[in-house]
Amino acid sequence: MSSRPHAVGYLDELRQIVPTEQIEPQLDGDEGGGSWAVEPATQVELVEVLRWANQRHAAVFTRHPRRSDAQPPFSRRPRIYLRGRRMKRVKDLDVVSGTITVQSGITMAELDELLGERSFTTGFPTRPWRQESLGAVLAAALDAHWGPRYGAMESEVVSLGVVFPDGTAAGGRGAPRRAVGPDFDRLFLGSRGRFGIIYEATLRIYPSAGRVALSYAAPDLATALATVHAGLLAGLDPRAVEIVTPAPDREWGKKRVGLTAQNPVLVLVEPWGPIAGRPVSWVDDHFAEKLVKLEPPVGWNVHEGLLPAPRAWTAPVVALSWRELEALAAELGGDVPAGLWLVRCSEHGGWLSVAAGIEGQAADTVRAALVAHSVQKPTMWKRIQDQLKAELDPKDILNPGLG
Amino acid sequence: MATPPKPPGDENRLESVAKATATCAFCPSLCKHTCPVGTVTARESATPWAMMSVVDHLRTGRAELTDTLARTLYLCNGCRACTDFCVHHVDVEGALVEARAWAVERGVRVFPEQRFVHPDLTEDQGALREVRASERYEVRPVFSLFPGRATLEHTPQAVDELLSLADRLDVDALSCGSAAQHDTGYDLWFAGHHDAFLRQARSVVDAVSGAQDLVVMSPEALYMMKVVYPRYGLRIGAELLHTSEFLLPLLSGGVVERIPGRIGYHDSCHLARHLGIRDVPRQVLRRLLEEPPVELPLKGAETLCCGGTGCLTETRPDVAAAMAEEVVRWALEVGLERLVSFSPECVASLRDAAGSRLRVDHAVTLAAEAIVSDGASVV
Amino acid sequence: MARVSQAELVRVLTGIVGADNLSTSRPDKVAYSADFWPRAQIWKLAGEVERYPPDCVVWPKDTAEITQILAYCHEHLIPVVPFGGGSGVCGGTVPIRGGVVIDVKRLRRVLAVDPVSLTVSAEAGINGQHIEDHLNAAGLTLGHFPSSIMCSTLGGWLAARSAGQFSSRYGKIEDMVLGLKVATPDGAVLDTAERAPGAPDWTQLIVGSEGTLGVITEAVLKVQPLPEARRLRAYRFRHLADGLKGARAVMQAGLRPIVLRLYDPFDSLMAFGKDPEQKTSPRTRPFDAIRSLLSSPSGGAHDDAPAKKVPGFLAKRLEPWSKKAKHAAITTALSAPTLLNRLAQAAPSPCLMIVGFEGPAEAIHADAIAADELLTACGGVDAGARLGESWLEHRYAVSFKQSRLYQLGAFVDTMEVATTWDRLETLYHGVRSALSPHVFIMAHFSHAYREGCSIYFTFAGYRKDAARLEQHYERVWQLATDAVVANGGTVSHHHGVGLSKMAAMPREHGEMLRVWRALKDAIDPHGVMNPGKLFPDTTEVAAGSAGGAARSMVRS
Repeated sequence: MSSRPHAVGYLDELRQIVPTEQIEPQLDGDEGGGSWAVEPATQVELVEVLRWANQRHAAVFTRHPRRSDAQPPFSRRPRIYLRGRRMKRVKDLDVVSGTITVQSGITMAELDELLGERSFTTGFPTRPWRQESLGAVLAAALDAHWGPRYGAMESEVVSLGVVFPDGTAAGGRGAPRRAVGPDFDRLFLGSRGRFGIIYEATLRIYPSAGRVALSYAAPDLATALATVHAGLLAGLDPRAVEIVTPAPDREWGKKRVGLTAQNPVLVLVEPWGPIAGRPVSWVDDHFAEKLVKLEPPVGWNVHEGLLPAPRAWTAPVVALSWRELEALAAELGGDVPAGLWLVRCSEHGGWLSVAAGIEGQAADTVRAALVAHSVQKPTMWKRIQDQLKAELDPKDILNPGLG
Repeated sequence: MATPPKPPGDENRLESVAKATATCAFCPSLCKHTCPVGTVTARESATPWAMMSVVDHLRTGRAELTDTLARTLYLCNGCRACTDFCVHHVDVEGALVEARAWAVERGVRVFPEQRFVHPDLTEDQGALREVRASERYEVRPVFSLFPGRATLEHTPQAVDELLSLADRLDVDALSCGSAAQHDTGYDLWFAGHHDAFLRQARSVVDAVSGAQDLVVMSPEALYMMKVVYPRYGLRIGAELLHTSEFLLPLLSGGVVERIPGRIGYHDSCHLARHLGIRDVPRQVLRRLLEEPPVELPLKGAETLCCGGTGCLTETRPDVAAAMAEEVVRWALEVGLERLVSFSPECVASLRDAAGSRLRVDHAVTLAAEAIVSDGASVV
Repeated sequence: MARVSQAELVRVLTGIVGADNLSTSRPDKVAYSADFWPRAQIWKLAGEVERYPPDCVVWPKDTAEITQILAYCHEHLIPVVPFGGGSGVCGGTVPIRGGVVIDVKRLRRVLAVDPVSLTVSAEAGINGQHIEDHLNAAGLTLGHFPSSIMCSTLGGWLAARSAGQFSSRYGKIEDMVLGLKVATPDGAVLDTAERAPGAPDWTQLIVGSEGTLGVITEAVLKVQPLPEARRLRAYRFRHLADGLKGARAVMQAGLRPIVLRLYDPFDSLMAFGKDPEQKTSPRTRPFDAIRSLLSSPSGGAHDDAPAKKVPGFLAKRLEPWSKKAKHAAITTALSAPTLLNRLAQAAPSPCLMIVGFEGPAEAIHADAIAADELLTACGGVDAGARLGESWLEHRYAVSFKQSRLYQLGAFVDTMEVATTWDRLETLYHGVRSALSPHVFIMAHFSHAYREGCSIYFTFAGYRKDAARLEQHYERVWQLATDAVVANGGTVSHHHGVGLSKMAAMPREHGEMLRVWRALKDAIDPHGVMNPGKLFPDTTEVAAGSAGGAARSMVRS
């Protein structure tokens, strides 16, 4: 804890806003303006913290502290690391409409458990980001296994509550669909906390019964793609379809699901349920005809046993159309890299990525395809993004340095 | 909702179309997609809604008649696609014809009458001269071929082909008569110059009097004789047949060498919509072609006008050309090698637009190619 | 940044698009002075055919010309109104500040169809039916069938977040669009598909902007294979609440009908005719007359009776009436609608629901059986396939009817609101009771989703002269939007905002409007794009000819 008078003064001011137990001093440099992790417990506290930060020109981060934060350009500014762990209240569980309004500090695991007790689930991934908060997942627009029925992560959000950098709260209840101008919530989804803090979200929820994935093994990517594509065109209408090859270090998981060297590609299909979509028997007939059925069926926690931890993923996740996917499969031929991950397969295509550290020709081919189809260089939108930032956060309070 | 025409000079000419124009003026332009002029010009002011609104504004005094407003009324090509689509079947063509006549009566003649007058063809003129020289010429035949001015102008060889086809099929009775030199006055009628139109129409009625059957080649002319003339109290005694209706029964007797290839049929608006002749031309083609004719995406009653009618070639040749281009584009999109039509107006405008990209023919040409002889002579 | 004269404006723009593609002529000014906002129809009734004429209309041929026009207008503070089909019903394209109307309909090419990945790329000015025709020719469909499909454009759909009648299955246009290109006032063309990591989804920040940010020039959309089979059926519910419960059960079971529409008792009567057993009392005559005006010609309630065309089986009974008497009955009824609305509510008419599925034949067979079980469990009675098919056949017909009401000097308008299932009935009753004393009102529930549904209100009003009719119209909308906001709904599900719902926007969005202001400042800093629309407090444009009038149109 620094002994410099202005830092002490700042701490005192912060204590007026949130109880001391919700403030945790962080490592700070010699010239530091003070550095604290702050855990607001209510929306009011969050608003007040941001107002204070604006007044004092503090830097407010929604990430973990980094050593470099104590260096210029932030070293002279007080720094706040916001933690959401105390904001996890469920404001409304509307089983009639099938929505939940919950504060964003709740972790994905907690949300899953809470809904599971009531036989509901979200359309979000249940495994890969278990310990991340909902707010973090939304702000980072992390992609996962949402399928044709869930859509992208963004489409699971009915509405958001956000606090702007100056402490103004905004957001409403939302409606199933609207035509009242652009969808402003989208500015906050995926923009990594540049423009505001998501303090609550209203999400769609689904009955959780029967969330079991059927699993099949394919000899190569082309066969897996062809079978999935044909199924989708024949009205498969699943919740989710994924094509996965296990990472090289996940031999145990590979064995457990029953993948072999002849059939190394895993195809996961989650039928919608007892009533809607094609019945399970139809799905099974379709896939088992072309692919090898794996028994017993796996749950979605299969990812943990097959893929490296999400943090190890460095390659971009890129949307490819069926045409592009087919071209890639043709290029690969029988050679499929380990750690391949094709999710959210729909009638139009899917989202592709590959784990880091995989060697070989096949992995290089996939990586080349990812680079070819991803937007990496600054686009025309960069200028607009910068201007939005300048207007919504003129003092550059929120997550400064993101660019 | 057909509009009975008012006698010339009637102050209330526009009142007779009041219901039609008011219906359009307050309609959200639901027929817009059917209007080929609106589509190719991309202009709101060239849609049936806008033109009818102008008439309604003029009728109710919300707007004053000027050259500019009157000019708008000529953007309609009279294809009736809007009327067919409309739940109320508002007669846009009829209402606009009335409005043009009303404007002309008030001295607002944006296009002078002269542009729509087609003087009677004389003996010296190409196609007619040849016809007259042929054996199948009588001054007043009973079973008469009426090619129509457009046919003689744009597809004169179709007249020859039809006559020689009649020879080959041993149909003695059909002849071309002096009536062929007359124009039915479609342009005058459509452009609103009704005094001149009526003079012209009367001369046609006189010329064809005495004929029992009249085989009309131009769908525009057939529409005038069958539908428009009677509105003005002019009746043609003869039974009116379109070329396709004349050909169909003959084909069963002929020896046909079926023509191969991807050949499509373009419905003329007047034939398919105004006169409802949609199946007979197809039946004719089915007997001539190896494969059934390829259908364009917009076909039959929904056919897309190629700009060959409605005086557009006079008043807005650019628009007419763009419309023809649209039809050609569809034809190329569905991979046609050859496009045929039974309308000389359509053949002319489609040929101009297609250039070397697509062969466009009169259906009679196709028949002439396919029919080798009558069945009897082979046996 | 000096003001430019009209002559200078025309000279410069002519240099860009060519003389043939610019117009200052009266017919064009009249045609582009309004869209199909009912209020603009009332102006027409009052004899005003061009209350807000643009200074000129241009028809650029491509994106490059559009960017040049925008850059010039941006520099010289000239208002720009992007124009597609002009079929909007909210005044979104009314050039209230004059300026330049950019009609994009010359950009009407289908650029690419990918039958493997099921996508289409097309220019924004293409007519809705035309893009569908093109896709059909390739064995595909967009699955987007707004009742304006014949007179609206792709760009317009995207600008106003349009919904088609099959939205329950295929989603609204914002669910179909994968990316779009937008020309912005600084002369740039932005492609929303270029979403860098860590950036928001720009597509959804442009979709719905109603021409206030830029001109949408191109879009890539999802398409579907033409369905192998289609199946429609009608159900009858004794109570509206039962029907809503059934609709919710179907959607939440994960079934994806193309259409799921529930008509309130009166709309059922309007749309499908009366129960044949019911006697007509003389008191309900105006009612019948209005039906003949408003109803879609979809036949009677007899399952086996053939579908009759205009105007339904009541036509005969109406015949003896003289035209004048009919006119008088309707206008009297519309000017004092309380009685009529009460009658409508008291009429013991069931609520009709249309449910339909399309796709592979056996899949939809199973879906239809599942839906039948759910609906029957909620009290629905199967009313056969004919009513369903007949709805499909005549689904666009109702739009043709409004013109007749205007001819009587009345107005008819629609309001499409939406909310989650828990508030749907409250919203319905809230709006009904707020409007019942003022207009004749009916509703149906369409565009059902898993978490909620939209309500489509139709209302008609009458005042003797046009000036009072306009006041009346304005008041009705004020009451309507107030009731929607108070009952937790959104004031627009798919018509957009334009001028008509602008006043409700601060309450709809609250502080979220800051995002709007930031976007507007970033993309259109001079506020030239469709000024005075969508949101009330956008940057005012200094130039323009109708500023004063524009302000007076903004309701406080």
